[in-house]
Amino acid sequence: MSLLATCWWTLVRTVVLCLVAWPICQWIERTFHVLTPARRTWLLVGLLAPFCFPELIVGYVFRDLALSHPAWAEALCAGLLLVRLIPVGTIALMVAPPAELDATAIHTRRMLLRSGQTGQWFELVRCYWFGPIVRALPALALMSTVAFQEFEMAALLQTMGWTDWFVTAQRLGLEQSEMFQQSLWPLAWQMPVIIAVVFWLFRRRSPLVPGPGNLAAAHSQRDRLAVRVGVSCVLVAVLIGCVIPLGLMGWRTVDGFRLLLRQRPQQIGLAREMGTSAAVAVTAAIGAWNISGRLRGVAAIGLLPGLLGSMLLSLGCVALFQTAWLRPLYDTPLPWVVSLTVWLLPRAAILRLWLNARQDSEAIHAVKLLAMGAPGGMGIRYQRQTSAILWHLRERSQFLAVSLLCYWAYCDLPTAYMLAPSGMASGLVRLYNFMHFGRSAALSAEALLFFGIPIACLSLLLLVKRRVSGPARFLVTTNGKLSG
Amino acid sequence: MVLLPVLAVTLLVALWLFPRSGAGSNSLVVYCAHDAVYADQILKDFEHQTGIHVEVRYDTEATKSLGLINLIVQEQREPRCDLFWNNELLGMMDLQSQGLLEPYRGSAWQRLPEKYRDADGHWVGFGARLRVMIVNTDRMAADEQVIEELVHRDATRVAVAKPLFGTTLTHYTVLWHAWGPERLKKWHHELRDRGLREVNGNGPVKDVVAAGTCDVGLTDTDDLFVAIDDHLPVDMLPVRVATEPNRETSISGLSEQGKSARTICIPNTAAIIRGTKRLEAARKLVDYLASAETELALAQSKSRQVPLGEVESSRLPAEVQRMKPWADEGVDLRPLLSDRRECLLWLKSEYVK
Repeated sequence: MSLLATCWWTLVRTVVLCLVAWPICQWIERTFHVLTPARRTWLLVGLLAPFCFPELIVGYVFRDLALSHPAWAEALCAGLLLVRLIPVGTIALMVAPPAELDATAIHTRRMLLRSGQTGQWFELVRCYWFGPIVRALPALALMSTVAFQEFEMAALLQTMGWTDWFVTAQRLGLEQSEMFQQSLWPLAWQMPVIIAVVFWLFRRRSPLVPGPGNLAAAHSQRDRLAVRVGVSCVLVAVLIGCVIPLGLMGWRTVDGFRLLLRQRPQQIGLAREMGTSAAVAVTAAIGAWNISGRLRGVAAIGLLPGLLGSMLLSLGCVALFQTAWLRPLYDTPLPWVVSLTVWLLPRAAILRLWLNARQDSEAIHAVKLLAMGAPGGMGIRYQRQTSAILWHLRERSQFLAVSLLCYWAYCDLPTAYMLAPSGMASGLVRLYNFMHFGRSAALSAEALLFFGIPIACLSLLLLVKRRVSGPARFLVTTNGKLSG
Repeated sequence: MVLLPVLAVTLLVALWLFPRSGAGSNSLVVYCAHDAVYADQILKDFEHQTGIHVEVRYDTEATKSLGLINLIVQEQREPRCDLFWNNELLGMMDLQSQGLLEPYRGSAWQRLPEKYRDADGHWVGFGARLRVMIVNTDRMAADEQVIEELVHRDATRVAVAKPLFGTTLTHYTVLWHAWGPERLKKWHHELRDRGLREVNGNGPVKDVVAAGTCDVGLTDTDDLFVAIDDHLPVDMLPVRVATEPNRETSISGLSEQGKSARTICIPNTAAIIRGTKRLEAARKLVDYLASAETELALAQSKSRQVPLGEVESSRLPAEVQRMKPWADEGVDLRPLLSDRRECLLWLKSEYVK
């Protein structure tokens, strides 16, 4: 099949999925407005879980089912992709600026039009454009970018896509010049969406967390329905995207652990591979986080390459580091780190904007003032308490955001496969290779360890930090104000 | 937040430098197209016996990424690879034709039959797989006549890997040579039009047949034995191709009969890359890989690869003993390089437009 045909196929899948995901995202977003802060946190965790769950494992466990029939593979891939798109759309909707025209204004315009008092039909269209449509665009753009760039899961489920066309062509020895020429197709198709996303990223300024006014609306019939539908959607997404894959892997994993415990070289190898992946991921994630904070104005163009997806980026990096000037650096970890950093930049920018919207700068400022005016006798204990509040208000979120970036980098396959230098194999590549031979207990155990240990380490770190600095007892009202 | 990046960078540099320092600096870099599940133990045993550290880069058919052959071609000015262990022959001959291989006629070369070694020692073949028809025995008998009828009746029940890579490409090359381009193209198009199930590799062919999604498929023996070891209802028949036209030729084309019919036996191959800085270590590994010891190890492994040189036959598993006569009648692949190029050119135009 031609590249153009695969691009069309991917595009149709993308459009259908975005249209299906959109109303679900709206329901879930509405649920966020209605829930109390504590429940909101749980819903957020549930919402993000399927997106953060390693694609490789999802593709791996559903692979056998997908092989039953090509149509099943397509349907399965679309369903699993939908589960991953919903968090993206919902979060984008949550951080999107409010519409210039709300539902009341549109309703009024419609009434006026119906009574024949004023206006024409295109004014109603205009109302919809400046109302729900403009608000929906960033979320739809982000979802379509994620869906269009899908690679690993589609490859494991053996569905058609332009990314697969490129790896096949590359393996068949497509000339680099021709490859870049061909990559202009998907690039051109994504460009309008990408530009819209970048533009939106640097325009957004509205607060993220709904105020008490929204909470007051929790009692209406419609909101109760919204909560039911929203929570149900999130639960189904968690079930399909996380619980079922873990369950399907888990039933033979205990035997795998036993097997692994007996094989010391295998343990050492896995530990080394995990160390390599973690070191690269942490370096790239921190680099991306710091750079994303400095991209202002025209420099925001720097986000564009990252939106092209890690596969095209990796292919570009291979070509770049094989030029005469950069060839000495080809067999080092630098191309791997650079490629991951560039790929993570737009994600880091989104996370930054989200955190900025969530942060209560007044409260942070107040804590800083408190820290500066510490009474003489209270010394170390007082400083500890203020730094604990600051950690809770600001640094903890940043730490979690960078951790999420690390995990994405840790789980990215194309960069690891194409750019890891000799002697620094990534466990991800080995697991991916073995997963194509079908499921086995040892492989399931290794995969669980590879993806689970970083999460366990992060949880442990947070627990230790909480122990060291003590729980923030004097925190925080729903608006982030200090309360004694 | 300051300490973490420092630690990460330090760890990264340490992990990168470690294989390049001390004993590691003399590591033999091996590009290995053979499946890691089977090759890993062989290379570890070599390390254990010789003390030579081996650094491996694997490329399975599944990763479908920068193929190792392409990588060797790209790196020809500054080769990083010392030895290439390929899982088929024709790709290796392509590298030979580009002058990228170093000749070596060592002990391994001496012990192998002429059909499975280059006359000048640019490569040696060892431990072969066969192309076979895998049959789901719950659905039908492993019988050529029954298969023939099925292919005529319903091609949607037949599975084949996309023939762009690996041993399926070799299979198509043999057909290109034996049948000529026109007949192969006609056969290929007709089967596809009738709904032939094409999947991304021989492993998935085995999976769809073992699961009963398809009844019969074309795959390799090593993939087939994975299903047999999992106690799945499968059996095999060797694929045969008539090298001379005759009236007994099957119409379905999956397998043929007749006096001139030959099996497709595809050896692993090993070759030293021209420009290597570790020539002696690479030679040792070539001799090790194509030795009787390694051939026996490959035969006794889960992939049950057929030894091509002399080995103690009593130590061969029953399945390998069954396949040995089939391997002996394998078609000579050495004259097929130009056919491969032409066939691949056509396949590219079919699949990657």
